[in-house]
Amino acid sequence: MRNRHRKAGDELRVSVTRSDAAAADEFTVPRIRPMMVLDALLAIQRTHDPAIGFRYSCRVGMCGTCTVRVDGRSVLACQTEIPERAEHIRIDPLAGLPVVRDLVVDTAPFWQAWKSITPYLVPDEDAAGMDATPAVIKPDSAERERIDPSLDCIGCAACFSSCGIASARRDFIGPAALNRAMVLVADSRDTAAAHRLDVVATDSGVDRCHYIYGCSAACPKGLDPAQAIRRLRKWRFDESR
Amino acid sequence: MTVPQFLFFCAFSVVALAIIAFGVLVVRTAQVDDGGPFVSRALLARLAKPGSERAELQRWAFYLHRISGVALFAFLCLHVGDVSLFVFSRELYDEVHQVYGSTAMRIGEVGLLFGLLFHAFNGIRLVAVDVADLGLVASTRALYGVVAATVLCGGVGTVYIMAPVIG
Ligand code: FES
Repeated sequence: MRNRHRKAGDELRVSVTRSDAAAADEFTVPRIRPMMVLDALLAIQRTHDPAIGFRYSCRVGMCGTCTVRVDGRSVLACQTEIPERAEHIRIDPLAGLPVVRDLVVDTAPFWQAWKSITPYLVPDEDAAGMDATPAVIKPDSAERERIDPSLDCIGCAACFSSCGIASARRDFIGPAALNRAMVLVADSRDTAAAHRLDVVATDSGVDRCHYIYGCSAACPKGLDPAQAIRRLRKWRFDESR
Repeated sequence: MTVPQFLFFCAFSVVALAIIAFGVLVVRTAQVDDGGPFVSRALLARLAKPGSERAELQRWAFYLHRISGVALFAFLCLHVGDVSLFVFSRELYDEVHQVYGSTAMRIGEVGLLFGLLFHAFNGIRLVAVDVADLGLVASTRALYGVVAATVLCGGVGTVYIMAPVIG
């Protein structure tokens, strides 16, 4: 466990975008080291304004609820350390999603896009069931190697917010949903690939991507949605994938 | 300067102002809408380090691609207009096109040349990302190539464009 200590007189200024224009938006909190962005928000809540709105749950980078923008960059508040020399940070709600209050956003558009690609495995009716032999994708197969590195999405929407197209509300399914679509299209046990490829080929699909790479650079789990998008762009025209 | 020349120069100025206004709009909306980092010392420090952090440059390439695209389209519309003057009068066409030789217009042409080169090379890069399956780091390296080619070709072009008024 890391040793947390505080230097006397050491402080951090935090600017927070508030939905109520009359609410305080500049706070000074005691600096601890190391200090996560979530620590700063909790310090504000404890010592300045109990009504400040932000979300968190697991605190270990698993639930994906604490995503905010720090100095414009979409990150998980619980996993992002405030740089050693920083004296001031600015925290904004995620881009491209309606703000509910302060740093809390309505993630409905993100999940709507997720839903549009049928985000679950649709097995072959005959192959599924209690008596069926389990379908196996071997660990060393090319299929498994394609799927595995793209599996860990926690639905935090950092990629959605970092994408210059999705975040600007330009009717784009977005990187997370497309990454999920790629995983399922690559899965030989799935029977809904044709439907998903139809969805990703629409005007809101892969062709909206301009390869800004904000998604791959921002993903806190190290996924590469841009690679998934490149694959889907090819697979649309390639039956032999 | 004759009246047709003055009117053409005004039209060119309006196009130039529209391009600048669009550029400001892109950057301002990006600051509000786009979940990319703000331009700050921290960002510059990150960009100075090689590796995936430099992928952030591609966001700026996207903005520049949009601005240069709109700039080229706006100028093309103006250019179609001034070239079509030939249909009405050859003298009028020659008169208006003399404006292209002025220093102010040549500076505008240099800007246009850089916009054209960046837009073309960056467009090729975006095609290459798909065709050659370029990942985050490779695509950023390709962007360095785009900038280098733009500066190189733009520099040579600048010499040719500006030589008559400088030399
Ligand atoms: S609180 Fe769960 S990911 Fe940050």
